[in-house]
Amino acid sequence: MSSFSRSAQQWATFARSWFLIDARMQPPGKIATMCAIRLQGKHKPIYHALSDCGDHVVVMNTKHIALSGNKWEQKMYSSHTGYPGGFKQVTAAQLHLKDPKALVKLAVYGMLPRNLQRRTMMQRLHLFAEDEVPEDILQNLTEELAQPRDIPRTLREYSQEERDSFPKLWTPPEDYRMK
Amino acid sequence: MVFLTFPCLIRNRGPDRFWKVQELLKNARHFRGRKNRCYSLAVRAVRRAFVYATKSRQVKRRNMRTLWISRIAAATREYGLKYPILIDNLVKSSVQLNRKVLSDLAINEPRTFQSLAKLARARQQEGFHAALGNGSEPPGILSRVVLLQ
Amino acid sequence: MAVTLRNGCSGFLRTCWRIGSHNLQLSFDKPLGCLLPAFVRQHSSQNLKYPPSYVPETSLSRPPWPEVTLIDPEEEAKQHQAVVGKVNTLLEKGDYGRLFAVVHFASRQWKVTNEDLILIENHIDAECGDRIRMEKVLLLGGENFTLIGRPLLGCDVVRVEATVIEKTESWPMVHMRFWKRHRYQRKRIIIQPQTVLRINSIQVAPRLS
Repeated sequence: MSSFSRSAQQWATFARSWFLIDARMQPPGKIATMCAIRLQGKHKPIYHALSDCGDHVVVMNTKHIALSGNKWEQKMYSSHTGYPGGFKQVTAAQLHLKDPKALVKLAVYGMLPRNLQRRTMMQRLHLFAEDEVPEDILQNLTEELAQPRDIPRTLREYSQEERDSFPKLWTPPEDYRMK
Repeated sequence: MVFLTFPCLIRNRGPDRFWKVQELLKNARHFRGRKNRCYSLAVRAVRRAFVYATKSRQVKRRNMRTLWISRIAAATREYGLKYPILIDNLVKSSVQLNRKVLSDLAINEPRTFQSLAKLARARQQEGFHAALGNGSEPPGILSRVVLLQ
Repeated sequence: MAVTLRNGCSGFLRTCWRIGSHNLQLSFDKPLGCLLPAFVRQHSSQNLKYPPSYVPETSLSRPPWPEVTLIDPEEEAKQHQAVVGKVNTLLEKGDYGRLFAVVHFASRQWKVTNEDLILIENHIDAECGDRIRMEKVLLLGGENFTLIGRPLLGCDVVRVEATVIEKTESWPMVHMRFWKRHRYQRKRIIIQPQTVLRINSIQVAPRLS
């Protein structure tokens, strides 16, 4: 047992790993749950709220997230400056145009526990609007997480053969005019 | 009892207030502010502290259980299962380890925990197989699975 | 209307054929064809005559439930025998390192190993210095194997022994109840009897029965 050292084990146990998530065409809420679990360290069996065992998470392509339904136009983000008449509301689309990282950041922030560690955990979240990640962060990365949502193929990406062999409910007549 | 003087007789009557106060202040000496020396403030603080201590003995058990559960959930996800599935299938295969031991195993004996996860996985697959039967629907039910046949 | 119906029928036929061909590919991929439901295999044998071409996957391509992967009983029995044989050789050689066990004692479960001290929140019927045997063993683990009891391991397989070291009392705990504005206040001092046990040995039988 001479080669075994407790301090090395301790360092290895509480070492921080870095995760990479590609947010292209992903709902920000699902990205945020994955981030929040890893930032808190809840994916480790040694988890304890006070032991500060959270990891770093790098999210790229936050500019290309996908919202379902009419959320781009109707989901409102509210804030108050504290002054009279300082209540501000913007839609998701406006906020996204202003800052492409804001939607993911707010979603993660809302999913973290409301305590003093929340700001520290947010500092371990690294957001990038495009897929260009700085070299020093790239060197730290240990694992890339699978995307939570399968990106659907557009009709253009299907070959003609696949399109022809797709089952149809009815065969349009010869003179049927497609819109 | 014989008292030599009248003041001694007076002092001996009733319970001794001085020692009563000291007994109570003994519990409040580490408190902050005037609570650690003024009786009328200390008595409330000490009472409140004792009530907290009493209630916290139950709360501690509750918190430990939630901690164990979140630890087991973390360990279970490493093996591609979820916490309720693991617990349900361990109960179904009559393994009666409790959450305390399971979370301990997850931290200190990961290979043992892996074998438990495998057991739960196999039990889950058996359950699915039994629930599916031979793949046909029960009589009198029309569904798209039947249409496929 | 008639046209629509006919087209619907043809679509349905096409669906059947697609299922067959899809699962045909699967059965080529994996030798475990027995996992698939029986009806699918019949179809695949009938639909062999269709020309193979690409079929896109739709929601009807496969049944909505997850695919069940069961190993067949013969294979399972073989694996089981292999595992038991391996553990038996380990046990015979005594090559299992330091053992640990999970015992159920005093309505709690304890993960114990040799030389452990455990503290129980009550007195037990044994005197100090008595050697007792813990019979409810739920799990036994060595370096390379784990025996899981369902729920208990047999008395002839594992033997966990302990000695009663000390019978003592806990420090006094204050039990205080107080309702505000009701003049209700109760104070009680609770002292819990305690017992300290030392685990002496965990022994395992040299052969699984």
